Amino acid sequence: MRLMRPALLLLPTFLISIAVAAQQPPRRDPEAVAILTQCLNAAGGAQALTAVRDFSAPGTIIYFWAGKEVQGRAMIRGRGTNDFRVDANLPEGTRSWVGSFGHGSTRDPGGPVKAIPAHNTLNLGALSFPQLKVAAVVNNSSLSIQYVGLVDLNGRRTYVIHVKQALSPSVDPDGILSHLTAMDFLIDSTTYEILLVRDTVHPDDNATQDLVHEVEFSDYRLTNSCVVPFSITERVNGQRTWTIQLSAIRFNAGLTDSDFQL
Amino acid sequence: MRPQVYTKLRSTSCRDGEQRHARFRGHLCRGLFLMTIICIMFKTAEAQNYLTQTGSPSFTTSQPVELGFVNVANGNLHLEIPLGYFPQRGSRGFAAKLIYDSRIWQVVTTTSSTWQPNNVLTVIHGEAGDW
Repeated sequence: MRLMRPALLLLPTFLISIAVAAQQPPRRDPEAVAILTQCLNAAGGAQALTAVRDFSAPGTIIYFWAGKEVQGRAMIRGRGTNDFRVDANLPEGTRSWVGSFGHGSTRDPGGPVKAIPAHNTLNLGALSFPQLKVAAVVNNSSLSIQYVGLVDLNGRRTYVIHVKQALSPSVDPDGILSHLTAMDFLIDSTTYEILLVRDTVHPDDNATQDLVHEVEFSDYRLTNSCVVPFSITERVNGQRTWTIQLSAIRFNAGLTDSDFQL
Repeated sequence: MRPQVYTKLRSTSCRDGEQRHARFRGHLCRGLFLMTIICIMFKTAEAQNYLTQTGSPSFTTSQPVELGFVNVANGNLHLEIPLGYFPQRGSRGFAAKLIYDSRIWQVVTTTSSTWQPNNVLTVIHGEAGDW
């Protein structure tokens, strides 16, 4: 009997809190949305960016493998914010990988096609062209957008904007899907260029252990009304994995599904 | 005679009913309390993977080696090198050790495959459970 009252109070409170959380709209900080809008304007404007349906960009790639730098020519292809592909012509052969939302695959020179775990493919779209992601984020009302603050990044003051899918507890009871789609955009406070996109990757057999995945952008150039980063570097857990230097970029070549299959 | 019997029966059955009701409420409140605790605790429970466990997991089958053991279930070599033991004011002392676990490496496949240790702390802004 002594437990009756606390139990009767606690259980409904807990159940009501779940229901209330499910009904809450995604958090969208006005300050964060304003910064992302400025970022789009600096990249050529939302209209110019949304006109980009796909892109192809040749360049060079350097893989950093166990203290060894392996260099080759590369071709990047992307379609919308879902499909992304890199083909690298390395001395030992062609290394390719494709990533789409929820699935991806990779093929090493002479090797079989191997699947990338689904939990590591959710943020691979538009990997080299982060403004396309920002345009999609601003237009997607189901995403939560949070202003985190100002930080120093390589001597530059940068805004940190945190974005993630806001899924109801009935869809994502443990918040794992929401966590897997979470990203930080680090945006220069003066030029509004995206300097870094940070999310997490995870061990192949464990989607709940986080390892920091960062993609750094620099060498912004105006191309076909859009300002695009031509230098892209990836880091996993602080370890540099590759750098791509683009030499050109072409928009709307009409890429199809087959361009994103290995 | 009959009315007295009925009255007695009625009062007995009422008392039984009240007792049953009280017992039922007792069971119900215990059940509700337990459910509440389970609901709250459920989210914090995390699956353990015996393949990646380090240290000295519960129910380990181990092969002793000098200064430690090998967990035969997952091959982890666990070594502890004692540096010193320092009594404290309370009943528990302070034991300083160098501890080594071999099974901390795992494959992470994204745009390329890398080996990553599982004992490095990560920092991501605004996410629950971050370091």
